[in-house]
Amino acid sequence: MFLDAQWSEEPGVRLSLGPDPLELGLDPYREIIYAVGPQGIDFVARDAQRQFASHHVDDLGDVQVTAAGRSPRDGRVVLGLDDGRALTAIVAFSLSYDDTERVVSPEVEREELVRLFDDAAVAQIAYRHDGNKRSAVAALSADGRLVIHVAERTRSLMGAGRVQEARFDLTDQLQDPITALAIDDAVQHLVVGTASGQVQAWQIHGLHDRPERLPAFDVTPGAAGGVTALAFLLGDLSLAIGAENGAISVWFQTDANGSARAFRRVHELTSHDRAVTVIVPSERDKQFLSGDAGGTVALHHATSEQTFFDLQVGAGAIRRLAFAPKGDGFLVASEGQQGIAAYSLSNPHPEITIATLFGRVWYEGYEQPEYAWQSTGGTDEFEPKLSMIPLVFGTIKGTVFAMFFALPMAVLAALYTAEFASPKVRSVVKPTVELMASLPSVILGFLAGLWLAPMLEHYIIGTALLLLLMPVVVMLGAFGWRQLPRNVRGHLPANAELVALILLTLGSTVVALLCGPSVEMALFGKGLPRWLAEESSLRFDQRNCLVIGFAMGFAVIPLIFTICEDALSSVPASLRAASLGLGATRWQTAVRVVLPMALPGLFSAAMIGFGRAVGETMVVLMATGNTPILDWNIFTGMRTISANIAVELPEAPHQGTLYRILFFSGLLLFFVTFALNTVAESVRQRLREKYRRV
Amino acid sequence: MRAFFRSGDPFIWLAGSALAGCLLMIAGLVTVVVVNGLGFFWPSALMRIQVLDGTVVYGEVIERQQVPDKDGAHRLQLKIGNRDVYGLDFRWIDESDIETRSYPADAAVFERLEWGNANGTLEAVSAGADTLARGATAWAVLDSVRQITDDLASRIHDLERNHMGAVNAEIEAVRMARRRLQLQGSTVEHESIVQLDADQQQLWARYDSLSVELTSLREHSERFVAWLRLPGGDLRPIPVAHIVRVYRPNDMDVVAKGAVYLSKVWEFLSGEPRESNTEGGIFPALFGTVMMVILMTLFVVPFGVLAALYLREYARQGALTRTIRIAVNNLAGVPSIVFGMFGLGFFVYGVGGTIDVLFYPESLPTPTYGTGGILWASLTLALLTLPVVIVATEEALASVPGGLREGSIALGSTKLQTILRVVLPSALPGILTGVILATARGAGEVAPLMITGVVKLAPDLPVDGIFPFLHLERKFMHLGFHIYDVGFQSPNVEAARPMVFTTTLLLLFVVLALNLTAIVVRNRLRKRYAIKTI
Repeated sequence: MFLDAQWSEEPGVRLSLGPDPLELGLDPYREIIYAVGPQGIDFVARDAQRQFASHHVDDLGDVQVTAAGRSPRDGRVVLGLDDGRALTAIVAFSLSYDDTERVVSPEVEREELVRLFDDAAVAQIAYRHDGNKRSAVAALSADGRLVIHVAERTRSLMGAGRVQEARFDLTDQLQDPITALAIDDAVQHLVVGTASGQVQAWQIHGLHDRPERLPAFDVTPGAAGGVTALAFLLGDLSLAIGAENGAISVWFQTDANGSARAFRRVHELTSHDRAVTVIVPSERDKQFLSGDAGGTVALHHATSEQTFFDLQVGAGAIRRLAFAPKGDGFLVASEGQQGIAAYSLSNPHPEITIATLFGRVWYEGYEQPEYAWQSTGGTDEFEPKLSMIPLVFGTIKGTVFAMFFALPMAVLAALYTAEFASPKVRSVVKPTVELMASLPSVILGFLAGLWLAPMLEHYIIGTALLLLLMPVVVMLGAFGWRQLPRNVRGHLPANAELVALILLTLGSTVVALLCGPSVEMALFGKGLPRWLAEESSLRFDQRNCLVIGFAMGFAVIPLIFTICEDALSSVPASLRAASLGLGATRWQTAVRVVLPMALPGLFSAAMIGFGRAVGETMVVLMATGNTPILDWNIFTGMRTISANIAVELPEAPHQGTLYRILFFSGLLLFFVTFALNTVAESVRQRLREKYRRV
Repeated sequence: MRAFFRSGDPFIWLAGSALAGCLLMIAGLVTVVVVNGLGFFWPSALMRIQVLDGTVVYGEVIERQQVPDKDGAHRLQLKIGNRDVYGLDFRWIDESDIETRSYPADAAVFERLEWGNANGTLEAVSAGADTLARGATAWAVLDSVRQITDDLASRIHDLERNHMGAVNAEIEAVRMARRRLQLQGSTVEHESIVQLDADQQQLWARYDSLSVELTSLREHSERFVAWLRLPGGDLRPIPVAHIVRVYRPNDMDVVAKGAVYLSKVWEFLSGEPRESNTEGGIFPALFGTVMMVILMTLFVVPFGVLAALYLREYARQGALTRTIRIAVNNLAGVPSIVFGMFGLGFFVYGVGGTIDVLFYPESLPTPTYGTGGILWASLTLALLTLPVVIVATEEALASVPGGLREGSIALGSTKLQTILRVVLPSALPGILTGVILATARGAGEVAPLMITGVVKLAPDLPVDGIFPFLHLERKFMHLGFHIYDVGFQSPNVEAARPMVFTTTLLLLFVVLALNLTAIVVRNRLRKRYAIKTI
């Protein structure tokens, strides 16, 4: 997963397609390459076995192609002519099967011929079609004028529909000579780079309104040199900008804290040594290729801010680059080199680095760098957000709340069983707790999610009340017990104390839960969940940390209890006898002598309990909302690593990035529990030695 | 008072209350599951309610609840059935809106294959265009008609499952054989391929004749229709073949209700699920669980016992064995989902994928073993429960008194003989405890299965009458996953809840029974050694 990108030049593919192609492209199987030259589009098979007809523009009169642009996603190309017109076309590759062999053949379908300038040749051109009705061609003339031509198609049920066109001249809004231009895929924005290092942007409003000018921004503040290459990355928001001084940065529009929506510099990538000449985005993810005037090609990934390689292709400047549609290769045309060089590329997981897994990442469209987990989205352009932090956080949060509940409960219960309970009680309690340990977690999860969660929502104050009421009632009970005449106490059976305790606990639970709703009404005037929603900014989920605390605590208590009880009851009896003999009470003996002695055992119990809680899957899967949020609020849910694996692994494609990330998170889980268990185990071994010595 | 606090008694009691709390939690959990799970099948009375707005419903009262924001007012939750008419299974009715309530004796509950229950009164029974019976005699006629349709249903089932299933399997086998030959380079004219094509023709002909028979049986059985008078007065037909069970709860005594209860329990245990698992039985899940556990035991017992034998009897005790023991203990603490991941990566994609390439190239890219299945699930669980068996066996071996061993060797037997004839038999109950505990753990574990082969609805059991009878590559259903799936992924959670509780009860029962057996076996064991060592 953290392996570097692999690339290699493919032999025998220096294709002779004229010295200086205006644009390059290739089919999804990387079998056919096309290049736009002065006459039109030429095709060549990579294995040089097949010949294809070229698509020339000589039927349009005595014209030459002077500029070309490509829209990578839909195979559309635009050819700018020297008489000020532009031809748009679709280059498609059809697939047929000859017996079992795959045959790819190119097809060119002309779309429209539009007039951009009346008297000047086209020097640079960009073209996008939104796939629905609107398209736009932006062009720069040889004498420095900027024009955008917008077309909208009204679909009709019969025939081809109607095309309406409008042309806007934006030359008067220019401040400096233009060096690069680009339109986004949704045909919403036109951006141009200037020789002074600024980028100017317009919002395209359709046929009737002039494009609205957006604030310009300086790409290389303080430094000399202009913008030399521009490209929108997949997803249409991020703009990759290459400058004359070799700097490459990625910008997109966000609501900067408080201020208005504006382009902001988001990612800074490794600079080239020479001026950047061309930037080409990948059609699958946020990778892009850049070439410079010194003949170097580099592959970058915007979101993770990585640069995978610098490849010296030749001495001359890189003229054109093309990314293979499947991202598994690229083409390079450079000055002084004959033909086009084709490379294969393997970089299966470009978005993953240690930094993106564990650090804040500034994803496209976000206001600031964030930790986020969102592995699937609705569209093809969706960028998976795979940060481990929300999951790790969720795991810790769930575990901590579970331990809050389980640790005191289990330790106190073990202390009582080991030190104060009669042997008869102990012989009943221990197997019962072992039975509790064997309860399948799916049962706990089900009860927590479908029974406890609605109950707790209703009785939430009652539960809080219980925490207050219980100690008071129990202490009163102890007081009352002491007041019993000694001879009555002596005649009671050994387990009477426990029975009394159970009755007291049960009684206080019932009272607390019954009083809960009325106390809630008295305090808040309505249910706490509603109060929280209306009066405070806290969120309340029905499946929250309280539920998890109870349910996971339930799963962990028997584990901690058993180990604690073992550690406590194997403290040598001589110590206990000595302490009692010196006049200490039972409680003093237990707390001052036995507990310190067994402390490492308790520690190891806590470790093991923690390990179990960290890896617990079904309970959290069923009783949390599984929302990967970073929030310590006790009334919200979370998503843990283990639940995340259970939810997403069945759907993750074999060997894909998500699959690997999930295995990586599983490995994390494994290491954590392994470490915890090893520590606990060695502490226990030590403790055993200590007891032997005493 | 100070003396009271200094004596420490209140703190002892506080500690005791923690224990009492734990015990109460266990008791509470079991009570909740038992109460909710057992009550589901009891046929409750059907209340006829005339609402103030004029509508009439028949419904079973599920719950009586206070109306929020209204003091003293209560409302009833009714299971009204007839989902195909009302669109809902449940309805809340404020008690203040109720005009009259009654329990009419002829109100009946029709359990159907589709659309849940229908509540109403039986009006008539007809066959095709003829009315067989009307009014009071309809009940008797319905019973005899149902015998006919049940008969037909079992014939249809037999035809579909056994005969057509077998033909289907043969067709598939022939198709695969043909592909295999083609992959090996045979042309279409090759004589064995020609032969296979002829076979296929024949099989298709057989299949067609079977499906003609099936259609005629279906048509015959669909002719019988019971006419139901809905509470609102409308008349609705129900094909008799779709009726699972029909009873009039208001007209039954406890014995009759008990009979319905038992028949429902039986259907639950032995029937197929219906209505996306929210009704019917859970037999496939029960079968899948048992089958998976048996397979797992087959894998884990020999490995675990042999490993423990080696560790305890043969290996030289030293740093290495200590490390291995710590590793085994550690293995027990590894989260089960990690085991599942390992199972997916290693067994399913690794081993399974390789098996597919080597032995089933003709069906690729559809995986045979390269996808989750009962074999991989049970192997994964075998790994998961291995530490339980190893630890228990080691303990059992260690607790065999040294005197026995020495006695056997002194009498001239070899080490192997001693182990086989003396040590293992004495340690057997201990080993058995370990195995039972492992079984219990395996039966309750769900997370690793979710990624190694459990599905919400498996079309076929892993065992059936079609060669090779045991299909280890098939996906299967599991009780624990059933709980998760029906309880949390079902479209109609409210209606599914009782079903989930009952499934939970069953799983709880299985797991607790296994654990109790283990505890009993262990206690016997202790007593036996206590006598022997004296």
